[in-house]
Amino acid sequence: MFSRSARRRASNIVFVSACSFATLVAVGALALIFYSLFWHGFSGLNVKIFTMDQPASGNEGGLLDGILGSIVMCALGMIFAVVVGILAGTWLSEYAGGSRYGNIVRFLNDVLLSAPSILIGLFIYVIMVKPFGGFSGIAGSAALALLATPIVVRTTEDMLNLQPGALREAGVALGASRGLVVRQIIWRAAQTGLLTGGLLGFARISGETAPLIFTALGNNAHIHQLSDLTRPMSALPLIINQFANTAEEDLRNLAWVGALLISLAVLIVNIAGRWIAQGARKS
Amino acid sequence: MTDTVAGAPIDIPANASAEEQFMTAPPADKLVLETRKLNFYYGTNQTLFEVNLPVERNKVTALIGPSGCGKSTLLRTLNRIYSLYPNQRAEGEILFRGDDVLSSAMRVDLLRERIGMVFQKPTPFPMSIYDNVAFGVRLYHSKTKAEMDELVETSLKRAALWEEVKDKLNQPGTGLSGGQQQRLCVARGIAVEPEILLLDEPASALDPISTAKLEETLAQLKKDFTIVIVTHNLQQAARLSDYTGFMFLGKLIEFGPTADLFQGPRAQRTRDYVTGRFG
Amino acid sequence: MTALATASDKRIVRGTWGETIFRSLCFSAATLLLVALGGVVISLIIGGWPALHTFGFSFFTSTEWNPVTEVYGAAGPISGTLITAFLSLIIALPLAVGVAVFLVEFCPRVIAQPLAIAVELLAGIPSIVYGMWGLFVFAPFFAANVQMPLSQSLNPDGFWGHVFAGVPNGVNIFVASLILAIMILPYMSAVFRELLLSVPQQVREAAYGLGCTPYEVVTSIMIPFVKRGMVGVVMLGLGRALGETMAVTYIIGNSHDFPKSLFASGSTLASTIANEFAEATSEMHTSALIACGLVLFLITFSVLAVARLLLSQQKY
Repeated sequence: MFSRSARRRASNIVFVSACSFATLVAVGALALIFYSLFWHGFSGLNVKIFTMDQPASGNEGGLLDGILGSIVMCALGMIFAVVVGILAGTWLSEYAGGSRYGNIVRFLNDVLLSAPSILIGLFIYVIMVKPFGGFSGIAGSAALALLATPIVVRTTEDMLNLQPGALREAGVALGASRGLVVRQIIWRAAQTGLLTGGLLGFARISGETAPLIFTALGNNAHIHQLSDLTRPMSALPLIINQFANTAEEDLRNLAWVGALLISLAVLIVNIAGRWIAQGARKS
Repeated sequence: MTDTVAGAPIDIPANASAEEQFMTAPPADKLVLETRKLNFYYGTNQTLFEVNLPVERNKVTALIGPSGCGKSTLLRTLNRIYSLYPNQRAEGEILFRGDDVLSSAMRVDLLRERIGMVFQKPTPFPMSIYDNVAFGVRLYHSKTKAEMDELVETSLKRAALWEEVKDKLNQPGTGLSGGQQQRLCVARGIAVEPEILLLDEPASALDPISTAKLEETLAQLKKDFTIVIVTHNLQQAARLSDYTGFMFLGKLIEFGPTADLFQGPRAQRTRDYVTGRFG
Repeated sequence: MTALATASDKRIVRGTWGETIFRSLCFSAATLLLVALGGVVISLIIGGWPALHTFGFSFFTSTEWNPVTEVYGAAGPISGTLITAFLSLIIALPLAVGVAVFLVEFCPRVIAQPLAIAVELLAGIPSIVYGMWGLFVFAPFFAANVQMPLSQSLNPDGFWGHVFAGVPNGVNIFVASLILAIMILPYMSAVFRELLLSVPQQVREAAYGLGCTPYEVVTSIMIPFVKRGMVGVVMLGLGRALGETMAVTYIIGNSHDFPKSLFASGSTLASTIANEFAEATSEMHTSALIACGLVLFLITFSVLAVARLLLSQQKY
């Protein structure tokens, strides 16, 4: 009944519609989630969020301890991740070549990259929390560091590999050692890419909850001094996790505010990273 | 086997190293560099066969030949830049002021102060023009700011770039045009006052005007430096060089004063290449 | 004969001393990664050994998980992990392909890039936000609009009644899989898109030139072209789905039984650890949880290894 070409046209239309539908679902999900975040969280946004610590139910309060804790632990984690990550990525790109050991490191870095974050938390618990008898901000930072480092390693190696070989040769031809060429020329040439790697790592760990559950544990007060790092530490995802599961509505609302804040932060960092990378590509 | 190019059959012998060589070398006491029985290998693949290249001081020596003949490979042995790559190796001798460049006793880093290189694609470092030129110098000397300023100015003048950049020395080197970048690389290379400057097809990525400027610069530099230049542009070789070496399939087929080689090449293959029958 | 550049010249070029130190530093950093991963594996093995040793094979086959009687069998979480991961993959795969194909073939050029970025931003949303959204927004919606109508219209004893049996609160393995699917979708579609973009223009043009409809070009020519790569990416998506913790914990219902229907509660290895570790009552409980972690690691590792193998064999 239907001609061959009519059938082909029909199947094409179905296909195009299906693909459009899929895209609609994806974009729709994003829109829905942000809509919910704003719907539930926006009304709770006020100055107190940024100036007061988490409250008990029925009291006034904010999310300051979580925000500060997250910032501190993420920063510490990133310092480690950037230092170790760039060095390791440099080794893979400059010195390892196609060697067996290099390939092993590369593969295992990918394993660490894709490992469930909760297992990293377990690991840090076993080596840091249990033997030293307590949860701490340092343990939390360590878990985050271990999560972010593989990302930095990966992007560093990729970015350094993109640099033209002639640039390296030009440095060596002047008599510079390979390390000097890397440090003064290659790193500088790849600096935008390296920065993007750092941002990606930061975006990833700022939203993580699971690895903090049994390392930093959580706290009600915000960090006052350096030694607070050796004690349990508050973090925004931990507060969200705690308050979301309570029966008290005011605390649940705070959880929504926290969820909104964290999503916005991650999004801004992501977009910033893209924008920087885009700018570099244009120049 | 025969190959046909432009209508006329050309003989390509199965064993390239069986070809005759025609060498008119400069007198030995005028040489600053020479290779002796130089062989080169990419892995198991041999790409240079028993090359004996003489380089006279304060002259321009050009290396010409079709793609893949090994001229760039030969150039890159002279400052051992190939040693960056583990599967490349050279055998034989390269005598620079009496010492063998290829020996393990050679301090390669210091060698590269004496033998500089400019690459095909301009490679400005991601730093200011000033720092680009100063980079090499800072590796070997401690200079005061005044000394360095003077050195940078001198180098840029010699590279015919000073007038164009003297007001923007602090701007990144990557912001210059292609031709300017290449002259920056030349300035960078001569700032350390090497004895020999190696140039690997330095104008092939440049437009004709920049090329002309670069050639002018090189002609001037001859007074103070020895220059070895690889080029696929025959006219450029004829214009610039005092000596020319023609290479084919990894062998140095003919070498001699440029005028002689171009006007009266002795090897058949040189004749064919120079007259454009292949290449 | 004197020459300048020989071993007798004692000048040190700047940066020479630093070379060995720098190289060692870089090498140490790379090795540190190895050590860290090794540490993870070892700590999981050591921590989980007591439980594995005590319960042996039954750890993998028994669903009895009782902190009171100190009997631990992880069949429930293991099956939950595998079921949710595969279900989410089944849901996400066609969607990801659809999104990628749309962005490459059908989307007007102007909005293609912003749309692609929007989809990738989905990947950045933290797991816990997905969990909250799933629990407080999607679950009630699902319960009211899908589960209730289904349970009212289906015969509870019939086949479909059994398939869709479950407490109508929107918290079950299906919803968890759905949320997981949305989480792994952006990553998979992004890589699919790159794969499709890698198909040489000439091949596409040749197909269109023959008069193929876009449907035919994509399904008969482009997708087969990147088949190998797609398999690898699927496995990487699977790996991600296996390891997700927070989102799943919130909406899977947390029962250790083997899930008997689509809308039953369940648990995954990750959700079990997340839920119970903080209040683990005894050494054996803790060890059982760490053993769960070890099992999870082994599953994810195998998936990753297979994916690597397939991707490395790819020929274009």
